[in-house]
Order: sequence, then C-alpha cells, then structure tokens
Amino acid sequence: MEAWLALMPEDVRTQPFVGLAAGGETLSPEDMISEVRNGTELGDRFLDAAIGLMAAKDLQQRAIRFPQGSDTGRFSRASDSGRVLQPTPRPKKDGLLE
Amino acid sequence: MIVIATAGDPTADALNGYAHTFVSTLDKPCTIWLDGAGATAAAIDLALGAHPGQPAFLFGHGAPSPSTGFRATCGNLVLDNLGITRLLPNRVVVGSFCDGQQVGAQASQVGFSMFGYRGGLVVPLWPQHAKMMEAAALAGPRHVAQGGSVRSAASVAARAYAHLAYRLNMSRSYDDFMAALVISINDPTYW
Repeated sequence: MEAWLALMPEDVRTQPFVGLAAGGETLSPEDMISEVRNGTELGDRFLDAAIGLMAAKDLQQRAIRFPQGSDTGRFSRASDSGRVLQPTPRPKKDGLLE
Repeated sequence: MIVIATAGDPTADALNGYAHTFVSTLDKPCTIWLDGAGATAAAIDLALGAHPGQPAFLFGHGAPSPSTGFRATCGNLVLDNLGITRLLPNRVVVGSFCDGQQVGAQASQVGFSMFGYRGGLVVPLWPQHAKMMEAAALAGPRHVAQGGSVRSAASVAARAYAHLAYRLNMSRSYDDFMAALVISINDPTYW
C-alpha cells in the first residue's frame, strides 16, 4: 500500500478515493493509509483485506510447474520439496523391465 | 415496493446512481420512488407510513453507533428507534447504507427482516471503479426484489463482491488492487 502511495502523483494522493455511506465521509489515498498506520477499525479491516488479497495474488502468480513428465519420465511437485517421483517401470511382455 | 435514494455528497451520489439503475431494471414499477432532494425525512416518513408492509429499499447514509437510523437528504435522521418501531413492522428492508446493524439489531423484536451491511459500506469514488461496483452493490437488492430472502441475498451479495475483488486483484494495476481491497471489506449480512 505504501508503494501504491509512492507511485501516485502528489495531487491525486489527497483526492477522495473512497466514500463511506455514513455521514458522507470520504477518504483520500493518504487518509486510507493513515487509517491503516493508526490501527483504526477501518484501517484494520483494510489491512486484513490487503493481506488476504495479496496472498491470493501470490498463490496465483507462484510458479507451480509440472515438468514435461511424459517426455522425461520424471515428475515433481512444488509441495514435495524437490522430491522426484519416478514412473513405475512396466514389465515388458517377455518379463524384462522397460 | 418503495425505493429511497438520498444525494448531496460524492458517496450518496454514487449510491443514488446505483439506485437509478436498480429502479430502471425492475420488472414492475415501484410504488414510491423518492430520489435526491425529494428524499427528505418528512417524505420518507410519509411514504413508509402510508404503505405498511411494502418492501423498502434505501440507498444513502446510515448512522454509526451510538446513533441509529438512515439520514435523509435534508440531513435529518429517519428510522431512529421510534421510527423503526412505528414504520418497519412486517416489512422487508434493504439497507444500502453504513452500519445497518444499528437498525437490523431490532429486526426480531420489532418484526421485520433486513438485508444490509455490518459496519461501513465503502464505495470507490474513482469513476471506473464506482461503476464496476454497481453490479455487486445491486446483487442483494435485486435478489430481494425478485422475491428472494434477505438471508440468500446476503450470500448472493457476498459472492458478487468476492468475484469483483478477485477480478480486480488479478490486474497488474495498483489502482485496481486498491479498489479490490476497498470492495472486499464490504460485509453484506441479514437480520
């Protein structure tokens, strides 16, 4: 959120960004970050939402790659901490392993 | 059906725009439509008093604790404790305003049901995001207008906000991320 504020043109930082449907109060980006910094109830809700959304975004962007198992005969999963699963050898018709 | 939308500040005006879309997309015309300057405390009191039992859809400002109520365009509170007892029995109330819990807490005792928001109803004011939130903001009211319960309306609205926040969160724009954040703190519920 701080990075977002830093990227913003000076005049936009103080313009109303959100409105609360109670008494017509509006918040600028600077006000909103202040709510978070000051730990108000609204600030805490913003922070909780930010943590949830950032986690969701991180999960989506995290590389969960499945190497070309069918080509290499090797499979791995990100959750296996590097453990490589070998495909089970299949017996040939003559009883020898492939 | 009674629809009331106040105006006069950026947040109320944004909600008023949602109310206009709501009214224009109803299957049948509403009985009373109090809009902007016409949504005075006296007019709201008269409309609700003259049409007991009709569903009421309110868009605008609530009153944070320790107050209770809905703020008319003239600035006066309606639906304070006395107004709730007098005007809301046997009615479905859809409250698109902050601190709905102040009104909704009396639902079971007075005898009405309500869809509304626990805590703040936060509206993004940048035009593109304000417009984006419209469908989510109207999901609950539309569900009730089509005969759905306030309970299922809360569920429908929560999903609509979540889907919108998810979509905005996938953008690479910081502004979209912040809009997603704002939208996702809205907490639709029912009483």
